Amino acid sequence: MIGLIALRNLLKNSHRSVITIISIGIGGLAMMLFAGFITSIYFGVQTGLIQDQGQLQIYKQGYLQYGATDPDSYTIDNYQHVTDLLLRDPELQQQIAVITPQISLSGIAGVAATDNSKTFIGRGVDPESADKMRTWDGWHVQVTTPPTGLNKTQPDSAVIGVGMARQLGLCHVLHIANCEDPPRLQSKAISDEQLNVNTLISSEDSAQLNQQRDTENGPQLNLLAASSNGAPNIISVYVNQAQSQAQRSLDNAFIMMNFDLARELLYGEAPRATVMLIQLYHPERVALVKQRIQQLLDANDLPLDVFYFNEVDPSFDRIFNMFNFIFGVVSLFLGMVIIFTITNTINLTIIERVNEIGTIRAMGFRRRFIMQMFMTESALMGLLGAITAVILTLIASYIINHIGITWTPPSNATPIKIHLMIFENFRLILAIMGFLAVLSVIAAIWPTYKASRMNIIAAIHHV
Amino acid sequence: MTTNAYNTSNTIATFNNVVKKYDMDGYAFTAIKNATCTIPKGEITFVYGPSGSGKSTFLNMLGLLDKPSAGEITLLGQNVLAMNDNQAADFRSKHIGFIFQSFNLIPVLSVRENVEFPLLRHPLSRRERKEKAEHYLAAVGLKDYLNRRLNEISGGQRQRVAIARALVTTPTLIIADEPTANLDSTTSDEIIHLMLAMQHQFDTSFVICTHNEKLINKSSRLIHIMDGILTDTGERP
Repeated sequence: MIGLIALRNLLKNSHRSVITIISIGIGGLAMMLFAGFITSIYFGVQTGLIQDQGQLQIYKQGYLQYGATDPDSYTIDNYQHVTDLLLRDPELQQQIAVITPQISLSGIAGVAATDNSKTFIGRGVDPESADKMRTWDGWHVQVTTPPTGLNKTQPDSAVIGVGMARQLGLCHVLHIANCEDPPRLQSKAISDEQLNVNTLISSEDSAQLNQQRDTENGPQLNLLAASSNGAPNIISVYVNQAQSQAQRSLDNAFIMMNFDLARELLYGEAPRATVMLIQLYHPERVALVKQRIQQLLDANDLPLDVFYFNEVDPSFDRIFNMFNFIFGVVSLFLGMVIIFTITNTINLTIIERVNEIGTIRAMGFRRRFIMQMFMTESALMGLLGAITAVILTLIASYIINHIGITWTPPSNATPIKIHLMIFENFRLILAIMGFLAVLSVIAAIWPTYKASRMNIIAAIHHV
Repeated sequence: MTTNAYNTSNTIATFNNVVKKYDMDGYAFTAIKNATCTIPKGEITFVYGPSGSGKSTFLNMLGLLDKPSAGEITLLGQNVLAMNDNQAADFRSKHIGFIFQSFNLIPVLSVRENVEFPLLRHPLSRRERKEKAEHYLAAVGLKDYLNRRLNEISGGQRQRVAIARALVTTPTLIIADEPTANLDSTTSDEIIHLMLAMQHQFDTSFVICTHNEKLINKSSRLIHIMDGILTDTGERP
């Protein structure tokens, strides 16, 4: 009957109740939309990173600590052996969608035609595997990463960052939109510190390369890097396209090439790789797979460690934690507004029902019952407000998801469409609904406590 | 101070030298002065006196809504002063029913639901509550008004609902504070007669407070209050 009284009182004061319920609903709507946005970021950004780097990465032990200064000492020495070892395992066979080696390298890149050269940061990838990884969408968030641009091209093809193309004066040749070659490129002085890589190539080779420069293979880049034995080594690649990278510093220096070409530049014929990327079919099983891989590596005395992608690059966690923090702060303030709204409503209700409170107490009901009665009413408002929030969120999210708003996450080079993942994260919706209900109860504690301690006689005779 | 002419084993309540003082903006006002009396079981007792004489204060203490400043009150053999708030509430729910001048019904509930309401404190099923409420509403002549809203019935009918609500828990004592003050004379007579009939039918003790001498049943016991001084002769007028 407490519920019945609560409901009828809400209906009796319908105008006030509706305003309070809508206030709660709008607060809940804001929380749910924000939560949906964060969920979208969580899965969207993660999907983008997994498409590029896989969920798990195997490195030689110590690479993350010391590999930056001494990459050559921290390479995986026989990646094919590791691949075979993992794919022979029946458990892992079912889980691994892609396992592929990758090489990270750096050096100096030069364009013979312009005598222009600069440092580069490169990746050697297996194009087929990398492109397969880029189609992964384990959470169905429809985030797309463009293909590498290396698959089914010549083995010496390369893709560079748009910034890199600009620095090297390749905007025009590569027909890159919104990209201008540097002015007076030909007369640019090369500093003493800067090594002109093109001078290291014999004049005969240079002539031959220049002839090929504007062929269908695209402009030629000569790449100089230190090989594993410390001696400089040079290869030539043909740039077939430029792709924007997320960070400007990377974009200005980025080169992606075939894995074998990178391996040849650094290690000759040795089957070495910097990292092995592993992509799984089912993201929810990543912890189990990681554990199993580490078991196998340890059992075979391989000095390798397996990491989650976000252990290697913590930027994802930082982005997510930042949004979570903002969500927490916003929710806190929304919660305070909701509490004040409900407290005000309950106070008004109590003022109107002083006589009823006195009568009920006179009939022998304890103070606790009075609190229960008004807190039920408050909780009911909270529940109706939460339902209102869900309805409003359904409408708002449908509109937002269908008008095609895009944004570029910090980790992405290309914008992604905002798809608010609200009802995909049902537990969060329930949590917000519960939060609103709890807020409603909390908001009612003080006014109902005061109501329960009213003087019975004064309350009975209150007019 | 007067002597108690009733056998204490046949009493519901005993007041012994009860004093009630109020602090009104620093001024101590004595509403009840050394009251000593007994309330008999199974009878109607009228508490009579002019407005402001202390009748309501007396009833509030009798109904465990207020505590005396001094003296001793015993209700059904229990010392009222020793009870805390919860114990007093429990006692009221089991043993005391109230009828108020302004009916004090719960406006959002129907006639039957209002009568059912006090039974929430009793271990009864919903069906049992409903049956009891209907039984007492039939007893007060409102059998055909069970599902009516309060705004659909008259003042006299509302007071009948209040009487049924007071009776439904089968209390030992029903306290009615000016139950006819908001009613016309005809309806007032009806209500008083109804209470007399209910007292007779359910053998419940009634203490009815009024300032209208015409309403006092001549065969009932009378306590008179004037300026906080209570006169209980122990005899019927």
